[in-house]
Amino acid sequence: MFNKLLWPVLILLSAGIAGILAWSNSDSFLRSGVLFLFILIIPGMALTRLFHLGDMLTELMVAIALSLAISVLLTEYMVFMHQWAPNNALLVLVGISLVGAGLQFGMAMRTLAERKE
Amino acid sequence: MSEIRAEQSQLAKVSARVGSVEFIQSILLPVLLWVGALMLWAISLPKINPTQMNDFGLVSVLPATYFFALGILAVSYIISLNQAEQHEFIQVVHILLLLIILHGTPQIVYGTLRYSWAWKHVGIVDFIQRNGTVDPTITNLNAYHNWPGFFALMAMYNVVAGFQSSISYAGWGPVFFNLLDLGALLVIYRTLTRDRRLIWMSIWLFYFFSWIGQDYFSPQALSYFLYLVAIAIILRWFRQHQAPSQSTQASDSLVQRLAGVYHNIVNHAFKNLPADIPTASQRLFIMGILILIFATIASSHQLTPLMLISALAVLLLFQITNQRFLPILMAIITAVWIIFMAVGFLQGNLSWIVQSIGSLLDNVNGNFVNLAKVSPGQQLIAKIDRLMSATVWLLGFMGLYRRIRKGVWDIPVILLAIAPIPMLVLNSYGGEMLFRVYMFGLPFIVFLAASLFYPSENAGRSIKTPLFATGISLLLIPGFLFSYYGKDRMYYFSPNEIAATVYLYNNAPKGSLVFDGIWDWPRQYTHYENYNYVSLLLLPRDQRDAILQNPVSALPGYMTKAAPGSVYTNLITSGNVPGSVQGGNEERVYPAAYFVITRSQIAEAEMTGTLPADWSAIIIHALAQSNQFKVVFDNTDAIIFQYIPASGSK
Repeated sequence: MFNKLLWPVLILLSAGIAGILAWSNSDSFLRSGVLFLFILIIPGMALTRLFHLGDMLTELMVAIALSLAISVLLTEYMVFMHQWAPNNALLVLVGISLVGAGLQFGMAMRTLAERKE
Repeated sequence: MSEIRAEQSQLAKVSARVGSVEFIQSILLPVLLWVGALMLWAISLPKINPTQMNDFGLVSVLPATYFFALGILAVSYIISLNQAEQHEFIQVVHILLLLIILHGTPQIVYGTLRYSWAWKHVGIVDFIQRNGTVDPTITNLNAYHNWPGFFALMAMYNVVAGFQSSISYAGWGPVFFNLLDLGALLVIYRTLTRDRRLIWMSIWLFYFFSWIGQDYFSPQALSYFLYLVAIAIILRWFRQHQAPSQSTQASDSLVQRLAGVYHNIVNHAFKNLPADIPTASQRLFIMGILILIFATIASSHQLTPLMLISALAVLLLFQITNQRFLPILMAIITAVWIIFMAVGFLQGNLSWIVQSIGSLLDNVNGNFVNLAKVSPGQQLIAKIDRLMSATVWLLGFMGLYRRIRKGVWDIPVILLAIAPIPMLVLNSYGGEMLFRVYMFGLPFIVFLAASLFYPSENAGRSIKTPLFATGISLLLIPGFLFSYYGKDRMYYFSPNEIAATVYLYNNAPKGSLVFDGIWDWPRQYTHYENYNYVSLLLLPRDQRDAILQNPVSALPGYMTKAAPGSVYTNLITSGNVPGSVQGGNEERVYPAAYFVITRSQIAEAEMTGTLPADWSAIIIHALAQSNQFKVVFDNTDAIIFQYIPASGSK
């Protein structure tokens, strides 16, 4: 159960912290580091974890590729459509992460309920 | 009873002793060797003075302790690889240390961003960060505006993370991208073999033979990682688990017999590979990810989509995958992007692209350094580059032979190693196609090369294997350092050169002309669209000779105004970006014009022989004597002249 809840908790926390730091306007290493890791891993991990792709490394690599792909395509859309709003792009990534984490929580709870039955 | 107890206690003692020996060999020894390697590396760093580099680049200023550090790491890695008790984190830490020592050193020692193209990439990110858009019809660095994926991502990151520019972190690009590739390579290799020694030897060889240097802050580094992940996904989840239609074996036709033999080989190859069959929902999700990766690659880099199409087509053709639509889908996404989104690039480049299709010899020859022109040091570097490339292929062939003799046919590996080769027919890619073909085939060639050491799980257990592997690794250390860092006299930019560049962009008015000898200096990292750039090297031979014969009389012709339609000076944006200088083919007068000469430009001319060795001396001497030019910035590594037109000359 701990394993099933670890990632959704991590995703929720990092999404929250990334959001707060991005709007904090601080020039800290913490801000750049957290946002770097968030954009690189979290949106992809929020979705990939829903499908149980196998070992941790494979899941992580697929999650990173997915995170990068989502971010690249999102920002390209903004650039070509003259809709440049980096903070909104981050908001979308945070949203994807929250939805993914929510679904992971739901699945974990369902598993727990099934076990109790 | 007491005898049994004594025996048990004896056994416990022996097992504890064996356990402690294993602990010492597999954990304590590598940890001690890491500490030793790190200490030697740390001692080396203050001794490295990049300003003293000679024709051999960074290698010429590396102290012996640096080589010892890498040597210890190599010995430690091979020892740990051959332990009966395998701890994967030991290999991971080795590779982390290797990447930091190999790729972190320049960033720490130079203190400035290495390689002029990295500065240009920072400039494109800066453009998007300031303007919030791209200008696909811009003349200068046009391709980046048509494939802006990587730059848009980094611009977004800069804004949300509070960076004004990517300069402060871009130098860590090689460490970061190589680390990303490590994960993707591990996933690929795990679909090809269960032998951990083979997997980690492949990784080890990959980093030493990866001398092409496309791992810096660039779209190709990002796309390469995505390419590896796409291949990993196909090999893991979309691979056939049995070759189809074996019924043909019964036929007498030669072709059908050969097909039958091939199917047998493929089935045999598949039998040895770890299988992973996804559920329907997993399949749908993974396919969705693959499509997003395709779209990202197609919109971020020009060459990688073609490499991926080639790889997918080859895997399909030889029935490694049965997903027929994958290469077609990738081809459609690529074509749609080129036709609809990269039309600005096509307008200016279609003719040479079409011309170079099919010119195999021209495309290949365009990649080789002309050894007659380059400096003696660079001749040696070029030969080492070629030796490194030939060596990995030779080891690959030898490994393949050993593997086949052990009854293992690595069909997907062979196919993916040769899949990039058809690209040589397509075009020369600015003289780089051969290197890119090498780069995309490398993950698979090194797998075959590693098979030379570990052709099967039972082979390679004698003392000869680690000795041979250590010997090869110790030879590869200088080989890599010469190949990767052999041009660093021109790739390094000193703080003095940076100071000159900063001065220029702080003082040159919008629309100014920036003239240089060669574009190899930290130019265009900020507000690049606001300036016109002309390089002596790019001018036709007769014009270049005329300037070098009499700079003072020839240069004002270029530095006063842009001639209508001049390809050299019509470099400003098309005006799509609000607030940018309006371009076009009309005659334009420059508000100011500068001639910039830096140490790195002089170094490149000396090393590559692309400009006469005395070009900078001729220009500096002539302009310093002339009252039409004024020195506005001068230090030991850079000089900037401003053109002062005589009144009425405009």
